[in-house]
Amino acid sequence: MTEHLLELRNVSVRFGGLQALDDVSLTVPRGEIRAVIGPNGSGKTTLLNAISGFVRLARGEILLDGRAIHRLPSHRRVQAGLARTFQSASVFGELDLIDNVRVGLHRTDPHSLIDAFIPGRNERLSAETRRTAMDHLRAVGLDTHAASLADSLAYGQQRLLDFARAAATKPALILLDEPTAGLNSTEIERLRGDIRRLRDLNTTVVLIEHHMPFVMDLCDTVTVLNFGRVIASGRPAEVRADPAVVASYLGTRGAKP
Amino acid sequence: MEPAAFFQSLLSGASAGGIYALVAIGFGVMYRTTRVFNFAQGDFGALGAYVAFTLAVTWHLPFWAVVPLACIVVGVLAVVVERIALRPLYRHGEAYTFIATIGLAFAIQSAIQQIWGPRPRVLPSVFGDTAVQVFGLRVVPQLAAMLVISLALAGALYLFFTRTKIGTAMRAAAHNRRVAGLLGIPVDRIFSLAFFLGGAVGALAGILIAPIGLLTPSMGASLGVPGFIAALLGGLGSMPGAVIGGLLIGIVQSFAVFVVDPRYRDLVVYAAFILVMLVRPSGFFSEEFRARRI
Amino acid sequence: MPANLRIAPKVRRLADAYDSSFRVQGLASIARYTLLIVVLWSLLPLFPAQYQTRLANLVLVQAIAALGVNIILGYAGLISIAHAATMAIGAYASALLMMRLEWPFAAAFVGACVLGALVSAVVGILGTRIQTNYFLLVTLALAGSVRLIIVNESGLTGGPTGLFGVPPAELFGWVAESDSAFYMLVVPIAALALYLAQRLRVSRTGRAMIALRLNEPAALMSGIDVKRYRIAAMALGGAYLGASGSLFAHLVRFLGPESFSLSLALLLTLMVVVGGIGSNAGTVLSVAVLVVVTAQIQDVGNAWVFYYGVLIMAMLVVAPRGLASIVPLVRPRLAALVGRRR
Repeated sequence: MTEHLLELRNVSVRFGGLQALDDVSLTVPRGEIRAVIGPNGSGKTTLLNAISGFVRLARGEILLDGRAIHRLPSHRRVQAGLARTFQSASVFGELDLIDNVRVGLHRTDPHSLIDAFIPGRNERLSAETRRTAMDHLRAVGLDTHAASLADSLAYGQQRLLDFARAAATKPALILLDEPTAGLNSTEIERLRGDIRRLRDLNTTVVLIEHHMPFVMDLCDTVTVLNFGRVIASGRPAEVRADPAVVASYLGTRGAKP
Repeated sequence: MEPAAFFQSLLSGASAGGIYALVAIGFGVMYRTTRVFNFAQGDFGALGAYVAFTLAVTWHLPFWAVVPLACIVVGVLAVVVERIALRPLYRHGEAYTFIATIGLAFAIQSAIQQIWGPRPRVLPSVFGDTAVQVFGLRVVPQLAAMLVISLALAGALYLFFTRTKIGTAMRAAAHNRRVAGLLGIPVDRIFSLAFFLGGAVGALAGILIAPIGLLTPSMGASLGVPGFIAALLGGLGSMPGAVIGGLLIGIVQSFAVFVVDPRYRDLVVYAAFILVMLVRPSGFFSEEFRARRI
Repeated sequence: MPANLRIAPKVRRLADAYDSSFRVQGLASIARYTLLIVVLWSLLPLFPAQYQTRLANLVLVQAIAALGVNIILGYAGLISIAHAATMAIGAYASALLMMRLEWPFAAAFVGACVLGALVSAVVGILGTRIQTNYFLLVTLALAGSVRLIIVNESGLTGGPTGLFGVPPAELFGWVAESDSAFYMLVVPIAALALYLAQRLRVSRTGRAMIALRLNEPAALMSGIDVKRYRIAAMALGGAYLGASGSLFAHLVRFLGPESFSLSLALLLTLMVVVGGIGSNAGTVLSVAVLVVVTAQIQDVGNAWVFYYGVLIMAMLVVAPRGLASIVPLVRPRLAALVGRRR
């Protein structure tokens, strides 16, 4: 068990001529809620894509709990304890809410293909995963919609469902891509509680966010990206006072270290 | 193998390959702009050849009028199909438009059979299909014309896409539909243009290859399958890739008969295709389409 | 004795009751399918002539194939046009195993399923290495190769003239030579096929397949090995297609290159699209409609291919979720009627 759950060492990602991530190194201690902020196009989503295996690294390595994961395909990283949500609502539209969360239970569900064909066993295992899924839905306040199709939900609710699915994988590390976008203030309040609860269950959280009051209130540490580089990292109050960060948000190029 | 026989095989392979390249280009123009994987591309060629047959043989129109007319007919049909049957499906994703074009392919095939009958037809060659001696080699003018015209057209289209404003706009629409719309690019009309070009180029491929064989309702498949494979080998949407892929397939087909039973010629093409894709799954020239999974 | 040990027997009894309640549910679902078989069997005397029995047999045989296509296309979202080729492999394998090696029908049937699954899985393995869009081309290669072999290997397959004298299906000495006998045989097989497909749909495996079709990134980030499940869908669907091919061979008792044309692959795709991608009930319903309608319009020759092509396009535009999108409207009433639970 390492002190740092997530460690990026000199990670670079290139798209053709564009350097999306440039020699990024960062460590996230176990049990922390970490925000990654930065102007649009600063490489935040690319960072999440690199950690979750949707883009290939040009250089560097990524360690989860001391184990190199950057060569693994995405689903193997999930098996190693990673989860993430997506920037746009990312649900399984033709499945109902229960089944959406049950997809998230895939890794822990012991239900084999043979079990499905044994009368009784299938029903029993299904009942158990349905109950677990229901608990996850209740946590995000969607249990009353459990039997509706995910397509029929409002945008904010779909984002909460995506969160519930990701949380259902019982991750050691969860990556949240702008979790408050499209949510109303009640939903944001609930989400804040859910993220804290997840942390209390020993999950480390890394989130991208533009909603500053949410970040300042919830997160332990803030990392600031600009032009694919880490320009600041520290307590929320320190980062807010950092002149380089202020300059990057105001668009002053001279602020690059 | 004698050098003469070798060159003749090379020429006939390259000529057919030029046609496959045209099919692949027409297909690629549609795919890269609209993301429609048009399974009916080969059948556009078949339809073009049959329309040309009616114009040339039944109506006795001159060749210079037949070719553009047939291409326009098929191009317009492609535009109409896109408007009516494909545009409502874009929001459901690529799989839906793909299945729709499978339906289209069979509809075209069956329509040809209903209109022109199942009997094979002959479209005469204007360039001549008896061999002439060139530097001691026997060259069939039709084959030479196929190669020259298809390569010239590929070059012209390449210039159109890279040098003209409208070609650049088409590439922008391909890259990001929403952003292109915001930039004031008329995405709807760009899509229609892509289908018109794809349909017309597909028709031309059918018209050019028709004189070296027979017109049959199912000729679309013998045009489409190598065309798709060519597009694939080159990397979808890459024009130089489509040309190289097409030539490669034509030549492999042409030389395969020396290695295996001629009846199994196409098996060699399939095997070569699968082998290449295993070594290089995204084709040879697919820089712009790689690593875009989100 | 500590308190927690004293209540143990009670907990045990509760757990047993809990288990058996599910066993009852499971047995109830089996009972429903048994009832379905009995009802279908008892329809036999109602068919006015052999022609209608033949039609019913074709519906059931094609329904098995369409259920397989539904696993490949409807669950996993893989677009293949090798369905007819996989059926052909099952058909020729089953026929030749009986004719050349004198296997009993049951063994030949199982052999056809296994071979269909294997070939389909190999296509899946090759196809998933390549970008999803190109998957179709590998299936195209299979379809082309199978056709070449059927046409050219006359010694084995009868070549273009076809394979005559395919023996009838037979089970423990009981020979299903007439259409009525075949009907008795195919009804339980089709019911089993439907049962397994439905079970698959609500299982963890089926859910993973549907999830990867609906949203591949989210499926990956749920820990689903997308490639593995695509290959699994191909294998399972291939087994269905092999089974259907085998039954077709012993029903029609003649096989030719045209028995398994590309048009059949189109028709099977159409059946799933009309039925609603992913829906088993919708698929079976649309098979019944399409087979009967095709039989009625056969006098227009090959023109039906045109109408089917147009129908696919129209169906996608008008009702992209097919007949199945109508089913949820009637399901609550139906459920209330038969007291059925999900």
